[in-house]
Amino acid sequence: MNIALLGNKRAGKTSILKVVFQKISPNETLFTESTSRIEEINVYNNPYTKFTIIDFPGTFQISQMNANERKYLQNCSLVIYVLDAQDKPYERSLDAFVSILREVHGMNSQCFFEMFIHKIDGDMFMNDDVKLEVLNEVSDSVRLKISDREIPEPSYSLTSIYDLSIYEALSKVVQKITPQVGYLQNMLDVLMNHCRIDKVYVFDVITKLYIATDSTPVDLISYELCSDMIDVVIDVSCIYGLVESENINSVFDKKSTAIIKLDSGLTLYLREIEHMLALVCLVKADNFDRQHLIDYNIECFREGARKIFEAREKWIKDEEESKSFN
Amino acid sequence: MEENDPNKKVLLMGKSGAGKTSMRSIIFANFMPKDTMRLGFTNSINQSNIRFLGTLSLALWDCGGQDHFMQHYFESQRDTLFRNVQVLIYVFDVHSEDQRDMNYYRSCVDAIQDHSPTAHIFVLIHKMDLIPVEKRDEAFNKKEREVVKNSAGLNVICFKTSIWDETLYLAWSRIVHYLIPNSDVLTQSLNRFCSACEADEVVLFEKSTFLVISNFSSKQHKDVHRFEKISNIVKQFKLSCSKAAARFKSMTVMNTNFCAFVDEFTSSTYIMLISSDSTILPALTQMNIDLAKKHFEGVVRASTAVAQ
Repeated sequence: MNIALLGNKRAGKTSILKVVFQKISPNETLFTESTSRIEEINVYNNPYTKFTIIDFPGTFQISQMNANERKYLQNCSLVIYVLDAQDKPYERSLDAFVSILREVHGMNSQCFFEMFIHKIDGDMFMNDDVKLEVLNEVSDSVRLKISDREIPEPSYSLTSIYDLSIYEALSKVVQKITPQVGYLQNMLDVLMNHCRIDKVYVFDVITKLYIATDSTPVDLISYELCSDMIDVVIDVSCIYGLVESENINSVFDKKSTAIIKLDSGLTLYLREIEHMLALVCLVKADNFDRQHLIDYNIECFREGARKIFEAREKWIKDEEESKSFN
Repeated sequence: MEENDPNKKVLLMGKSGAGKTSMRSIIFANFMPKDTMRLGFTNSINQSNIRFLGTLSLALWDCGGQDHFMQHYFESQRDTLFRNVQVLIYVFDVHSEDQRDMNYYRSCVDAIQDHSPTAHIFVLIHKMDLIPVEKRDEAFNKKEREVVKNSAGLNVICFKTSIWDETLYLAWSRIVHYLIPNSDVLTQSLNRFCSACEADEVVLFEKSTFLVISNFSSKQHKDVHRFEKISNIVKQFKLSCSKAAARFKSMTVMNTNFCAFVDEFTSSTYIMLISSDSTILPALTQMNIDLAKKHFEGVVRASTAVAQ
């Protein structure tokens, strides 16, 4: 599955990738060189987190695309357009976005569109009202521009690399192009009801994107807490959990488990369910009295999830075989 | 008698902008490193009393480092400021080549010698993060030689520090260690507890600062800075908890090779216990920790008690 990343020069495309996928501190991205040609970033942390991001140079113009660029856009499942929110007025960028929408939709009707209203940080956006205003302004303007055409409505996210908003937005993008997410969500709902869990996430440990959650709304506070918990678990395991001969990837293994208790009566519980994949849940301490039952249920979830992904893999394989057969 | 005074006077000095107030805020006031950018300069002397380990009280004198304050310290305020000092912490900005800085340091040492000859002197070579990793040792050694040359033969301990990593916790853990009157008592008890639990190591942290108070290890570990790293990790997490309007209580982390417990221990400490023996059930270790709490309450009190 491919994700194309488009946007103006200096909009922050490469910085996003550096922060999320290469773990570079946001402050250091100031010195990022501009991208001069298409770059591919392959993410394959586990069978559940597998996609490719195609970073387009900021100079790319849809009206002058070459055959190679066209091929990339024809094959992608989702286009992210990064809009620099600190670079007003937006008019020209929005025009560019709409023409990308029209063009890509014409040659690839299955493609989703997502706009990141980016750099929503700093002094300009101190309060939430300003952020919402920008969001409304942009979406209204885009809606006007595409009103008479049969183009799908894009989705919008407010993002910044200085907080978790970029992770949340990318998590949603990845979920959108992973067809199994619906099933996983149903299973997580069942798990949540049976174990009296308040909120549950399935995390890719490396990027800290969540690839699935239950159907209750995501609040940034619980997401941040879970994400910080993964940091703690990995950092502590790096100190004590490595036997000399092992490489760094084995810090998170089959038996990785963590429990953090807070005085608000909340317990955070983390378990490994697949290579570099963790299930993190928030449970009230009173409901955490029978840990073995929760463990058993998580084990059932793990089995189910594995079967779903295996079925998908098999289906893709069969599809390819029948194609080559014809 | 000064040694036994429960009020420990700690002087924090150094040139303006060296980072004195920033480090104080991180260690004692739970600031995030990035929030220290908003701190203004310290006007004259900022005195704060910090409760430490329940009964100890640190009188921390954060002395603003602008030139005109500095002159006051060495002239009109010399007698009051440098009297009864237990610990002097002098902070150097590793980048600064200003000779005046060294002169001030020299004057501090002289004043300490006159008024509090028993005081411990620590020098923090700060803002190490601004220097490329491979050049840090070189820069530190150079500064250290210079400091020792200017210390009038007194025993001085130098640390390289940065607010962005665990080095800050290392330095401050060592410093507070000198302020605990009977830390041997604590180490001995930890030793016994560690062998009773068949644990690899046991570490005691002060509750609010998460500085290391005492530790005992029955096994060698390759990473000598691991405790400071843990201080840093847990403190960061405590701050994220406070964003969620909750307070961190305890944590258990394990994988195939180890099991780590961090738990509230006595009223003024947290304990960390590491076990690598997978045949010991975590619940058993947890029970041992719970049962030891009451006993250690007394031990911690004894270790901070003032000899009569």
